[in-house]
Amino acid sequence: MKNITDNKNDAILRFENASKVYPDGTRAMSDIQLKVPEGQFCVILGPSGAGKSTLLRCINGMTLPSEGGLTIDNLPMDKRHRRTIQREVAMIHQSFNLIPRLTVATNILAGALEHTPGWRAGLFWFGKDLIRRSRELAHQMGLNEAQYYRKASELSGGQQQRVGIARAFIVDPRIVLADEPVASLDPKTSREILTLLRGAAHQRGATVLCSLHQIDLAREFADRIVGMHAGEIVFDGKADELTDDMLNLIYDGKPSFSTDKTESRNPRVA
Amino acid sequence: MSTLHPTVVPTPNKAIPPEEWFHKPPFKAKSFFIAFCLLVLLAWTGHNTEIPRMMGLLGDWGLDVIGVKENSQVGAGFQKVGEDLFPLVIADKTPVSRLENFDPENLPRFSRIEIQEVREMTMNSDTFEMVETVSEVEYLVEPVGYLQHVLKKMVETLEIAIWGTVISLIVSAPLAYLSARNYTPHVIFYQGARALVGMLRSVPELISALFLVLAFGFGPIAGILALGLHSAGFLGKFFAEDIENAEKGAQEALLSLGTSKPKVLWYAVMPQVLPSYVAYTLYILDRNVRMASVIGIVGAGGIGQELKGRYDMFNYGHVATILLVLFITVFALDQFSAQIRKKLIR
Ligand SMILES: Nc1ncnc2c1ncn2[C@@H]1O[C@H](COP(=O)(O)OP(=O)(O)OP(=O)(O)O)[C@@H](O)[C@H]1O
Ligand SMILES: [Mg+2]
Repeated sequence: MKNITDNKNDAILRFENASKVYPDGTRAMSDIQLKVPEGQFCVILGPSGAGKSTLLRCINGMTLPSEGGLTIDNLPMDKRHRRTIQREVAMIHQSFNLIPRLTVATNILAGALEHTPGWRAGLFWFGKDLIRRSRELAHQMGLNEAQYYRKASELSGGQQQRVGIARAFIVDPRIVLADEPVASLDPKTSREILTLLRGAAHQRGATVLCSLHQIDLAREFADRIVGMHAGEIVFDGKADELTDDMLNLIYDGKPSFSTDKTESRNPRVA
Repeated sequence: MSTLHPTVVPTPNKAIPPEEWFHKPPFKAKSFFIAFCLLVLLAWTGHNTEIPRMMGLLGDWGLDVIGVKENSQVGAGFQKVGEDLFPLVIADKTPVSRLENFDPENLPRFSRIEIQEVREMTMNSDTFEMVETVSEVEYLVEPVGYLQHVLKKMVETLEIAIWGTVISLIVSAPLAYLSARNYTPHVIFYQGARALVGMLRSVPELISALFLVLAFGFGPIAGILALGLHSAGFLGKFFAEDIENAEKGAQEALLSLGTSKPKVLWYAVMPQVLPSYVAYTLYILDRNVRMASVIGIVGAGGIGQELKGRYDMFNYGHVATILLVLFITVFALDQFSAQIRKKLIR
């Protein structure tokens, strides 16, 4: 298991021996070591309950690691820096998490609320530049004018996810997190959405971390794949390094051939 | 590929075998004991509130209705009330002598003069004999005069109810914000606002109106304030609960972008809760119309004042007219708010 980046300086995101134990005692992340450089499209694979969502929620400050450190752009993620970091991190959700009764336009612009003074935000009055940008983004995401002014709840799942991405990009975030962004979408739409996300990494230079349940999509799109099992990173490499053995390690916690060295990494499962 | 998908349950760190998992039963001996205690308590309070006597009276009445028994107390009471209420009085009949600047040439529209003979027994002061004197009294009769008067009072009642509702909205909005656990700026505000909301809700309109009438005098001001304060307590509680229970997805999405709490409240919570806020407000308006008619009884303006006066003078025909107008108004309002609710919840 080797890290793709060994150069410390260009990693925008660093987990150092980070663990997360929820108040009820569930150990969702244990001793995570992870460095992600800028502009990388990094896919996280792992079975249900492996801790993918927990890892992503640590990065956008919705939960804090209970042990170890997490630094983003050399800022430690703690209560003091959380708001500052959150302005640089955007998240795309499996269930889209749009505001159903508001229009697509307002939903996209809501991503930039922290860049709008309170009294103007109160009147739903956004700056000209923001409005222009939200239209451009909606267009880039493949939405048309009619859809742009429709209520978010009246769009299909795939269209809603496009709105979710536009909302994430309106402030030009340095890190984009996507938690199973295509879980409820058909294969064609899934590919389109992932193409948009990869474009964000390769063209805008954003760092994208995306959790997926589709191994073929991960292989096709990822610059790098991180495999998690029971809260630990058990695989970290390029798509062509993701062998069947490695898949077994990720999803079953043990390689199919017990001769493999990696078994000793998971004493629990043996 | 499909075999690769996880069939294995994620391994918990401490593996407790399923037979040792703690299973919480839905009912315990304690639940049954509590139910039994409640039953005993109910029986005791039933005795205090004359429930057995009520059963007896209702039983008698039931037998009366099906003809097995005669002259039940309740039946007789209702029959008397029924006879007194009808016919409804909608006309106004005023002795002309009591009218100021009455002009027989220029009567109000639809009205007419009626002359009635009034026989009176008086005592002749010289002979000490009872004598019947007949005098003619002129009345101005307005055929729907009383109905008009009641309608005017009803409009006044509606105005009191509307203003009470407006005041309750103004008071409850900040209270709801402060007393929503997940959006309050500070626990101290939360506790303070919750206490205030509880206090407002705990004082019934009729009682606060009693005191407000002393402070502000007879008339609508006391009524408006009494209604406004009580329903502010009600709305504050329900508004805050809706904020707390609003669906979290969109809120989290905005919060995780570093968005400040008031902005999240405005963008991700308000659009969600607005339809139920309108529904609550309509319910409060409906309730305030009914309550505005009641608090008139203690002098806080509106149709209640009229009702109380007529009731005290045993003018049950007039009372019946008032009740009918009240019923129609409440019914119409109910239809109206049902329409609005249907439009909103889509
Ligand atoms: N708020 C929480 N409180 C307690 N335990 C939690 C909480 N959130 C997640 N967990 C637990 O942490 C573990 C990891 O959960 P997580 O949601 O990160 O998994 P995941 O990899 O995203 O799974 P999935 O693929 O099903 O989304 C699970 O065992 C889960 O039950
Ligand atoms: Mg998850």
